[in-house]
Amino acid sequence: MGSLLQIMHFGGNGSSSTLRLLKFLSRPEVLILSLTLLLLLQIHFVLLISRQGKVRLTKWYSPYSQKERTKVIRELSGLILARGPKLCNFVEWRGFKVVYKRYASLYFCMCINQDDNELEVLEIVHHFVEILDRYFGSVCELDLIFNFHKAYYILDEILIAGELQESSKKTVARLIAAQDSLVETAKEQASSLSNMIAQATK
Amino acid sequence: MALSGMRGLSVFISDIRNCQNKEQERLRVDKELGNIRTRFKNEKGLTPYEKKKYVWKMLYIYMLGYDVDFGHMEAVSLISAPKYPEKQVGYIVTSSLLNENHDFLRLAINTVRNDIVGRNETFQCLALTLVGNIGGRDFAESLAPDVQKLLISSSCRPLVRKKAALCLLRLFRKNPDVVNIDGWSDRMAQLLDERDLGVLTSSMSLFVALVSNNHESYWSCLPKCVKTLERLARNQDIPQEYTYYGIPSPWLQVKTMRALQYFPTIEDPNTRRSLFEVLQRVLMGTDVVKNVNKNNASHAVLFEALALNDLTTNFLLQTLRLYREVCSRYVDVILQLIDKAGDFVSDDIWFRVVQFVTNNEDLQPYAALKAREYLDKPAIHETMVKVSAYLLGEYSHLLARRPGCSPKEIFSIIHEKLPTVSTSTIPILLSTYVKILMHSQPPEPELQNQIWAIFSKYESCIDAEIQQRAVEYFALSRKGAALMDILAEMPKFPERQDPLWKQSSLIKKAEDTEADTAEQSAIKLRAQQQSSNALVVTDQSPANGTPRVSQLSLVKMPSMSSEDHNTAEQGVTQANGTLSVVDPQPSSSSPGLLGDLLAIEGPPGVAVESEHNLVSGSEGASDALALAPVGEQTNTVQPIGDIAERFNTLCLKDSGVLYEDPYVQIGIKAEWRAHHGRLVLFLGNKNTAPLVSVQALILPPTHLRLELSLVPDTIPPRAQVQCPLEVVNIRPSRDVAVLDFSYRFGNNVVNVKLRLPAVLNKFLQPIPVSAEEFFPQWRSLSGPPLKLQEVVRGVRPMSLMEMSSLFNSFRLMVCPGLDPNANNLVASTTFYSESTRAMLCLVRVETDPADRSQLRMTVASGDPTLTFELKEFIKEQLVSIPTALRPLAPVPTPQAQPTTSPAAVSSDPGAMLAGLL
Repeated sequence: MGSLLQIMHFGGNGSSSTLRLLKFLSRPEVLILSLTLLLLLQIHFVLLISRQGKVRLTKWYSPYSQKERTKVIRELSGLILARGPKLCNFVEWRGFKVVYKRYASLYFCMCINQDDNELEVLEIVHHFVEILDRYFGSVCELDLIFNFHKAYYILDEILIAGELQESSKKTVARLIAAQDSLVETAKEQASSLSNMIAQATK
Repeated sequence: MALSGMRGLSVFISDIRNCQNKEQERLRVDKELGNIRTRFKNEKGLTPYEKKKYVWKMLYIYMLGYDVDFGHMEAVSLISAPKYPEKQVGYIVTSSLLNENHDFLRLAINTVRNDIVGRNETFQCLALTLVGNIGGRDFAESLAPDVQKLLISSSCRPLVRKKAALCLLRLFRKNPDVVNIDGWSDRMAQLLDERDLGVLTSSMSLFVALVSNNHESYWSCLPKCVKTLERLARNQDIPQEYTYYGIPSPWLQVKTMRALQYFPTIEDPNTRRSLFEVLQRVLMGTDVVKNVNKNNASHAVLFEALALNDLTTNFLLQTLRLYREVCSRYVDVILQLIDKAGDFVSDDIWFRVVQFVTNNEDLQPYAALKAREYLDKPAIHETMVKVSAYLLGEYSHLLARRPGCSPKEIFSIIHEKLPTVSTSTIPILLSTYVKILMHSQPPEPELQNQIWAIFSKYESCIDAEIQQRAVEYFALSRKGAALMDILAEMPKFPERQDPLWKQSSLIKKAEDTEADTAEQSAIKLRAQQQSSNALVVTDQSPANGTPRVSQLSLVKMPSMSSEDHNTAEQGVTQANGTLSVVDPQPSSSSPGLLGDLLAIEGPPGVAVESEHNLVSGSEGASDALALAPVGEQTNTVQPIGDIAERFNTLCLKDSGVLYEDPYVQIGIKAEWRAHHGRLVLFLGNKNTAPLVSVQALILPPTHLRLELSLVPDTIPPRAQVQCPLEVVNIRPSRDVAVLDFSYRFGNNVVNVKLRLPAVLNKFLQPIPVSAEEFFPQWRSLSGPPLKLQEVVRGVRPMSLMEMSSLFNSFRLMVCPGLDPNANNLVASTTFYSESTRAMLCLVRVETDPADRSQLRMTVASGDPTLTFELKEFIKEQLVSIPTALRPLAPVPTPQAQPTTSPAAVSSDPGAMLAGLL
């Protein structure tokens, strides 16, 4: 399982610059200048799904019941995993828009309103991946499987209420490091405490 | 770094990964769940570490898609653990497992509150994150003030404050009624001065929410937003860590522009200029670069900037230029592509170029020239021959004066290719020849003979298409001038086939603007006068008795310079034309409306110019109020007819009388198109004395944008004033706009609040759907919140036929035969608003022939709010409203009394609503 960022997909780059430009110009998000006044930006949920359809992280900012969550995951993995690598990173789904990007074996998906700025959200996805990469040191899917709780901590430092909270990678890294050291300290205290108790009750 | 740091958890995850199939996985999960359940039952024996571990396992199992229906309590209880590691896990797992509707969350409110008001900032962060992510109404009620305090506290560090900002945003967004934001404009202005970009980003999100709710209170924040944008665009004082691929926080830029979009205009010229500079920088500085992230980020900003179009006309023109640049680049790129890799270019792509060039006149000479250049190459792909031949046939005459571009030269260079092409290309070449011939009228005999020779050669071609063309073109080209009509340039393709074109109402607006460049100054003037183009029509003889020639004339009310009086006016009307709204057709010039004058008795009409001085409406009215004797005028003016009934009628019709009393009659005529509406209010004075202190205010609900043109302060005797009112529907809602209308006649001050028939169904467009279209849609909208069902009781008794016609009357198209059950009714329509755009709505009503007073209704659409609002709307139309209690003669409340007098409340729901506003 390779590093997510090293074999990052740029959405099917052509070889020549002409092809790339063409690709860029013909992407619907470039052609369609969205003019309507926009609803509040809100990421309704974040999903990390592996190529095999295994869920690696879910975060729901809008209230979905357990049943709905299961249904959404099933529907979206079917929709997104089936898409070819050269297709657009945005899919319309039930009146919403799902922005997704594949990094190595993992699909990162965020669901937003129809009128939201999808390019902005696509880069929030990338921002998140870069921070994971920095924290784990060349992050791969295994890291996220065994340390899924870390992924939750990190996401909580990036998004709250479905809105971007921090755009500095450095700040996020600093805050996560501080949390880690707090946990470490508590652990040490606990073990020295249990030592003391052990000593005392000898 | 592949282990979780909790051995038991890692082992469990490994076990799951080693499972060969789903069945094994299920067994392993069940075993683990059993284990956890047993351990939790015996809670006393659990160490905090173990509890933590099990809670994580639960989350992991939950993520795998298994139901975890126990242990929520344990997760929530960890929140109150004294130590950070347990507390952290409690918070995170709770906010991942539960949503705002879980009752368990209530148990945690006190602990969460203690953490928020406590002094430990890491605890504060955890608590704010939980509330920000899943906080519901209970949290808003008990925590909002504390969160507000943290946000503005000077002793809190940025890490707490940015979380507080987003936490507050959630509470406000979910429960705007609970979160008290009175006086927040000053605080918001302070927050926007924030230097820490993390806090500023979060605060800007909060600001967007506040401004979208009500921009009026936040004018003072507008310059701050522009300043922030300036700081970002110039990369001034932006720490390196806040740039993203060299772009100063693109997210903050987008957010700030989003906030600005809620302001209709910018008054201060300096602020306007600054914003213009920023936008220019964005526009000019955005280029397509190799790095995909940089590209995305810069275009995210660019598109947001484009949405800010209303703020300056110049900007619009630049947008147009950019657009054209993109267009010519598009043509360039496709031609290059055909040249380099013609085999891989499907027909669709070159058709697209043709379509594109046909629809963009500016591109035509350019495209023709490009095509001509490619033909000079020694060997070109057949697709290139096709597209070049087509383009040159249509547009080569636009190049006539250039060297190598005479009809003869064009013809011979294309004809050179003929031996190399296949039969599918020859028909295109024949068309090109005949077009060249047509454009070179009168034809050069030599060229004509050459082309005719080719046509006659192919008259006996074995390919039917070629043969037919050859025969027809030969015959046509002998007809001389008649040729011109038949072979004229192809018309533009319908817009809907052109994705680049169809979205851009902006571009059209820009084009309109540009087309009028010569008239720029006139337009500006017009834009300034927009607010005052009320039409005054009067049928009273002028004082000197000389009849005028025209029956009706347009009277421009003395125009105020909108620059000077804006502040004074804002409170009075919504009328201030934004400077950028350039309407090449002034709204008053619609002659159709004049035909619909309301009946006002009087001698044959003759127009006079209004002579009175237009004072600011507000001053006039307040004077009148001050002078009006309080006690005397109660109930002196009775309305004619039932106001509520008139409103109900107008909800289903587009013209009629909205209100009438002995002195005044207010008529209405409306036109609706997609999410736009145009109402004209006809204010008619029925008497021989003038109506003074006339004042019309629109109280808009949040989902409509309403702009009423200026209403004159005085309506001359027996005259009628027409006031256009522009309506834009932003999102689905059943709220109603209210017209607050008052005037003085003699000693009577009359004030009425009238609901305006700009209601939900006006933004519907009936659309027939077939069974093939209906059922897949119906099934794909599978349940709440997109599809809602309700049993409605207390339905007015009506037959199915009556119900059908009721539905049709409010623009829901009943589709007979779709539902096999004859007692059911299926209808469809399209709803238009800015947020939903065009949205298909489907409705099914199942009636019970045995009991007509109840039915089951299902409404579905792609937008949850729309579904709900439409369902409620239909319900309102179906259930009977008790009328017995209504007083016989509803009374417009005299100005001297508070508008919420009981009489008014019971007489008209509109008045009640207005009272609440």
